[in-house]
Amino acid sequence: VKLKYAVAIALVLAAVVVGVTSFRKTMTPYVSFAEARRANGLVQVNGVLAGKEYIVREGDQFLRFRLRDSRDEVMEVTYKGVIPGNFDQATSIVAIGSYRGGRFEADQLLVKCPSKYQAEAEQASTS
Amino acid sequence: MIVEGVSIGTLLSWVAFLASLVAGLGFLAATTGRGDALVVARRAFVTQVLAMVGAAVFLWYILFTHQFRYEYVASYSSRAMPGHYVYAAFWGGQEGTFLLWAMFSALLGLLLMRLRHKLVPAAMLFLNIPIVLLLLITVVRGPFLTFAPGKIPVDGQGLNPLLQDPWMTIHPPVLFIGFSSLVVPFALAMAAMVKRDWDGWIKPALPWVVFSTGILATGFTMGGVWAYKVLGWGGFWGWDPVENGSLIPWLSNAALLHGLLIQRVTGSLRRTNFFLAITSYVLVLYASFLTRSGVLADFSVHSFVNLGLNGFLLTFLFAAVVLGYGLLIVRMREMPRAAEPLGNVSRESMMWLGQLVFMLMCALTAVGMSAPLITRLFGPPSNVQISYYTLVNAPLGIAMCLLLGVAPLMRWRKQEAAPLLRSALPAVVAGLAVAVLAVALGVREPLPALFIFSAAFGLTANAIVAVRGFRHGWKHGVAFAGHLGATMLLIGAVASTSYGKSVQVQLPQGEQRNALGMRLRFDGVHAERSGQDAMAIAVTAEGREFQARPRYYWSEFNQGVMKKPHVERFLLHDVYISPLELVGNEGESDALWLAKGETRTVGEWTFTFVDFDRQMGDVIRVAARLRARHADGREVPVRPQVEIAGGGTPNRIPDYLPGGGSVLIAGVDAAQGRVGLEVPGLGRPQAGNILAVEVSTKPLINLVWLGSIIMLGSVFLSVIRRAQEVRPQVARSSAGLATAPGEAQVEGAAGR
Repeated sequence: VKLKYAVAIALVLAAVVVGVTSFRKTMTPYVSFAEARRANGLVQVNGVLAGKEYIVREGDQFLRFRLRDSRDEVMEVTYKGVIPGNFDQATSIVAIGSYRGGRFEADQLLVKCPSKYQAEAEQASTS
Repeated sequence: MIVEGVSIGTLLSWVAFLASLVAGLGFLAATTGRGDALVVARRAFVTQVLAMVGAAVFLWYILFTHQFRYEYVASYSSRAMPGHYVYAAFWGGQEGTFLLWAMFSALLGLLLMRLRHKLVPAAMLFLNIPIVLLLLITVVRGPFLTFAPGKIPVDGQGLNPLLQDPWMTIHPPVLFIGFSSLVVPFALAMAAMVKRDWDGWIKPALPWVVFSTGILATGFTMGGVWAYKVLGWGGFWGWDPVENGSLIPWLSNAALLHGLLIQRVTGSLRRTNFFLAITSYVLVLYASFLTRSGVLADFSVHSFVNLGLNGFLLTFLFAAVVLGYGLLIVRMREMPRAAEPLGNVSRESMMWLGQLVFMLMCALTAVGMSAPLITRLFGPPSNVQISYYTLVNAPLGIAMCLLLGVAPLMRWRKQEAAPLLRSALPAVVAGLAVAVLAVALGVREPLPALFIFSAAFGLTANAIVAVRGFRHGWKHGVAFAGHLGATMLLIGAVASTSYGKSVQVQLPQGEQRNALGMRLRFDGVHAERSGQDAMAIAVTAEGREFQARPRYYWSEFNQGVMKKPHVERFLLHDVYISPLELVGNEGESDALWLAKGETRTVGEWTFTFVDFDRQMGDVIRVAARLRARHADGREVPVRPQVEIAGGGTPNRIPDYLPGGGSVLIAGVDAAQGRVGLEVPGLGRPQAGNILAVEVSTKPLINLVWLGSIIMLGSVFLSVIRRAQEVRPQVARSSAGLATAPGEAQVEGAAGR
């Protein structure tokens, strides 16, 4: 076998292996609040914001907020990182993390920023 | 500007659409042998370009004149918007971006049309098809829809302040030029297959492919600068669907670029290059389907709304797939194999492997961004973590850096081992030296260390070859300089994203705190003229004292708090201070009350109230004339104002003291002729406020920017180089086309 083909086959195989394992490893299912409470490992939930506080304690600080899902269920979420812009007015918030000790600890938040596309959402829903 | 209920914009859209149909039929006739149809087709094409430019000008006109009866104007602009952002509302919504996309495709088409090349009529036919489809959207659901009479809003909704950044206003059109430009290699490839001209399309396609590489990368860079400077999470690339959606066509196009270079020299890879030219454009359409259709709505920070165009976008994508790959399959057997196969160990075989790596990156990234769709087939929709993208792309990145380092050291066709080892030695040594340095500085895991080695190897190898090339003229060095920039960027990206330190601290006002070896003291809130209040933080870091001013302010548009980080630049790293939250006593403002002629001192300033200036009318405006004298003897006039319009909340306009600090009117006591003032050092913000911030360092972030600049500069120089190679075939004059914007630019650049 010529060298270039050997290298090419090795590259493709490596990419497939790395791709499949990484895909499995990093996959976070999109679940309901009830499922999130039972789930092990990372999951993502979404809902609308129903109140928030920023907690500042000695040596500790985090954002605590509540999400309400489409079934009107409410879950408490905490988050320590940089709060995404537009958090306050978000139409919906996706929290990626896991449920520990009575609340959902988010590692990452995705905020549906009501950016330029927001106006269309309102139009679409009213028309 | 409305003629019997039809606006000029709609009218021009229709003209453009109909002209594009005529142009399409004309080019079809010309392709199938009726040469005389070409004149009609060209005129129709010019007509549609003019109509589109007219429609664009009209859109800007209604935006700048605030004609809120147009839904689009009301949705994306407002009276209060600063003028230099109003023009950007053009691409604030999807309807506008479709028009923009069509217009750029057509403007680039004008350039292609000027080329005297036998493939051009057929290529114009294929270039015109997407324009017809995009104009169809503009006609049906364009930016010129109006509200019913009586439902016209008084003011528009405005543009999100997050997007009101110079980088963000030019970033979308730059990306759209990039997406549009990919239609040219697609069209030339299709024409070449139709005409069975397997090699003739390469020369005219090459400058376009290089251009697309450069312009899309320019778009990424702008988006990256914006994310870093404005968004505050500290990175410049977030693997968001929108970012991935523009990355995958770029990767495919980069693979095509290298394939064309191989085919030019060796005549091989014909099928591969046709495949890549089609795939690059198909990926543009796939990405715009994913990001515009709403199917990823739950998985992205960008919010997408289904405009009811799903079916349309799918048809568009399907048409490109069937037409493109269908023609390739039909022509596949007729395509003769290359007389000269790729060498085994040679520059072209390394480039061929590089193409493979590009396509693997492209495929794995596409799989990641399509994860919600793929998993939906098997169960509940899931998404991959951001870490997926780094996990899959890091090993491929290592392979890429090694290949782009070793390829320039090789000869075309056949490389002997001994001279290669000799020429690679300095680069290997440099790579090892940098890797050892990185390990000494704290890189512990094998993969990043390997990445740094391979990137440093690639950088050195290309630096050596570039210097050698530049001695023979700039044309012989630019490609290598581009690779040098790319590897530099990668080193900066790995260092700044993986090896920075980060800590969250609380800063009680007036108290000193330590973080990452820096001293920080929060000195309070500074009202800014723009309304974007700054948090004043006195910082001492590595012998430099500076005032950090991250923004933290209430946004009327968002009905929420907006934040913007402070970036302090050092040579080898940035200090990045991102505000998290301001908590504590917001405080009732204690005002400083002054009667006429009275003088009082607060902090370093002594204020004397001279008199009121009143202005009556629809808007009542009261200004307080003051003199402010600083402790050092300077004296300045200060004139804060308050506006009261029709019973609404008063609008307080601050005036500013030299050296920072603002003066605001807190209240007016008309009966006794007194004015209440908010001045620095009094009232809000009160001690007791705590600002929570995240402080981080971004090592070698400057390599990201420097690498980008070197890479982009080189790519655009390469565009000139490749355009010059086509130049003899460009017609000197083409009647009626001299007015096309953008044309003169490329023409001028090519003439240098």
